[in-house]
Amino acid sequence: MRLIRGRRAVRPLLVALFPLHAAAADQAADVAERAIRLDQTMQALKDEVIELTTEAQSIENTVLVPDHLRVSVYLRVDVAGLLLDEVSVAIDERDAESHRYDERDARALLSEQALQRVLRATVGEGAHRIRLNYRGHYADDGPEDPPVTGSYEAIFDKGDRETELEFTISRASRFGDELRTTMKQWRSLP
Amino acid sequence: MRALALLLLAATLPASAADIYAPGSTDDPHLRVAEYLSRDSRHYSAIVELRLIDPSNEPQRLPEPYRWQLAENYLAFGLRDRAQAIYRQLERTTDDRLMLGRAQLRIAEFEYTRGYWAEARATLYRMRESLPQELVEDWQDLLARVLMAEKRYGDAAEVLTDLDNSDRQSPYTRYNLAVALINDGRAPQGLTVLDRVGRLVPSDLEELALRDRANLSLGWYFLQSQQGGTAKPPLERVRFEGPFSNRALLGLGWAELAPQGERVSKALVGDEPETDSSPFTTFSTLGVLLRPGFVEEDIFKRAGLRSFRLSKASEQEEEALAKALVPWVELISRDPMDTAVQEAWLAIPFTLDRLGAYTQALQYYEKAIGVLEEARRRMEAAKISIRQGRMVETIVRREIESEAGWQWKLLDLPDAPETYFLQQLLAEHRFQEALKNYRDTRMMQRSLESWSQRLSTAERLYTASDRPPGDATLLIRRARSRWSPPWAGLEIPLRAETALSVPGAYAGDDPGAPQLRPRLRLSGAPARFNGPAERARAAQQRLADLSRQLAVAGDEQSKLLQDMALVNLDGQKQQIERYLIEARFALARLYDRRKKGELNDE
Repeated sequence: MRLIRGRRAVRPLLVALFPLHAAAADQAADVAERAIRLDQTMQALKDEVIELTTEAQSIENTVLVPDHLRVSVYLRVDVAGLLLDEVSVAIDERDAESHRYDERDARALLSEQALQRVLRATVGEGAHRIRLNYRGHYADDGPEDPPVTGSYEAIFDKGDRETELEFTISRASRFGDELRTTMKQWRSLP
Repeated sequence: MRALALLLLAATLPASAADIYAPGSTDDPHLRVAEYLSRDSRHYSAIVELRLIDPSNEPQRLPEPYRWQLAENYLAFGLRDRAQAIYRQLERTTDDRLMLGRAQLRIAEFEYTRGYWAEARATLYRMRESLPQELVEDWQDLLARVLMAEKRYGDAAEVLTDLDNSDRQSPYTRYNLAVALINDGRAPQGLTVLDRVGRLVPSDLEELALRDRANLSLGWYFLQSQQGGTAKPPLERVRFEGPFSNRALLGLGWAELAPQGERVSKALVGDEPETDSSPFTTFSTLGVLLRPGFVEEDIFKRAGLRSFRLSKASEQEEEALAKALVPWVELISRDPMDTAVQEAWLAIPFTLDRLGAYTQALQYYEKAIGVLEEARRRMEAAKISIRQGRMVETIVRREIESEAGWQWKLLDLPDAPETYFLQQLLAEHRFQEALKNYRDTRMMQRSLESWSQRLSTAERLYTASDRPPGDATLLIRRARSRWSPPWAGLEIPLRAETALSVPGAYAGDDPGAPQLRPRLRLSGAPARFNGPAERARAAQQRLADLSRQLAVAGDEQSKLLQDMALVNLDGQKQQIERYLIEARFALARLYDRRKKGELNDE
């Protein structure tokens, strides 16, 4: 953040000390005007792309994961410095869906309130078994440190509307190293 | 072994055990997914996630956390107008003035970097009344930069000084104050501020670079003001190896050649501490500048090059010339594509000529011509490469999927012929912002291509003949379970009836009255369906149109980047041409003098 501010902050001196020729200044003004006009075009196009993508996502959801069959599984990491390497989620006897993390998205998951959708699937009404496995490491771990792993298995009851399950990885106690995983179910107000 | 396996066979979690959330509230998983995506710099996906919460696109109807999140992502993705509209609504409802102030500063920063300077100024003046104390310095810094971009240096200096808070301003802000003061005609005060920045104890590499820059600016200012001796101390403070070292070495050489001058007292800015412990209290000046250096446009103004002497220099001058050679000899061992290095290649034979080492001077001029011709050749190659768009394409291709939008940063440079020449341009907002927009067009084009396939799949699956028919009973049951009567929650007040009928007098409806039975008939098919398949087809049409528009915008954006680069390269090429003319002219003069027998090489 500061780097950019610094760079931005010091730029004017170059303009001040090394003034442009008149012709070059005209060219620069023309380029600046074109840049602004194009930026406005870009804003309009981005707006339309977002409208369209939202509509496309809504269509896809309706067809592939309709509300009444949909199960959305979310993950939250509430352990400072724990960077996930991989997470997998499986429902019933289906193949597990895996997600591998790089440094950036593992860190993004550590921010307060952040939740990652790790699975979106369709299941019928009734009881289902869900299983979550994860593997990760602490940011200050050395190469010889063993990975941090954990798993959680539970049964949930699917109703006739979207089921939203949140898994949270947190410390079992305030001062201990032991981690625990919990599951919570959410439902939207109609 | 820290590996922990917590295997819990939990009891069934019934659907009824769910916690309830209001859409757009802080509990809403979709909002929290958007937070994750935003932190992961995936602003485009975050916006779509948020917009799915609110299909009607009326954010004012959703809770504040939703609106903050949406506005932040809009702005990060470069949609200033959308973000601004939401922040304006939030101004009327939020109690969090600090958060609002920060948001407005981000808007103004966006406007500033994208070249909307008048808007940025308006945004900043508008927020002045309700500016939280914590943001005063950031506000000052940004407003000053905006005003300086508009060349309103006096106003910028005013903004930075009228609150009397110099002790809380960053070194960057102080540097800008110096620039504003110098450009406003208050050079003595500006130089004092610049000198302080040039003496700061850096806490990180950025501050070290800023310190170098301040010292370089100070040194060259004195050189340009024909105070070469005064230029030496600040130039000596620049690191030997660093982004500003070449120009500092070049300046040091010229500073050695300048004679002594009068001493000038340091000007007071008005924010000095009570006791100034700095040992540097005056600008001692040395005298006249022989050559202003690489920023000089007219080579003939360079007095030193005009008057080649036929005899050796005086003893005092000889010493100065020998000293000047020290930094320049170091400089020519560096990258010859650097303008400062190129000038050193000319400065050395010039000095040798003055010293009477004519043969060496001839040799160095010939070498200089070789170096400059090579630089010109590489410059031509760079221009060809620019026209082919290779550098920009390489930059863009590296992170084609990135959705960072305005927040995207150019972290490293591609190995292309033009990269070296365009380092300064690449760091400027006007180029970076245009590059971000170009990158965004490419990212969105790819996204639309992907959506085209996904929509085709969705449509095919939905219209597949083997899709099981819908179960009407199930659909009705599901609809009922979600339906709530429109009168739900309605309170019906009752009052005591005062005139009751005689018990038994009411016999219900009149059995003889005609029964109202609506006549039903089969309706025709609706003229237009709007199911998923129809929506997918309509979306495909829009998508094709939008892809074409994006391609056109991308081409224009690419052309803009090319033009910026070519204008910059042309300026640099002209500089090389000027050096070449200078070198050839000096060489010809030397040959001429040798032919006339005027040279007596010692």
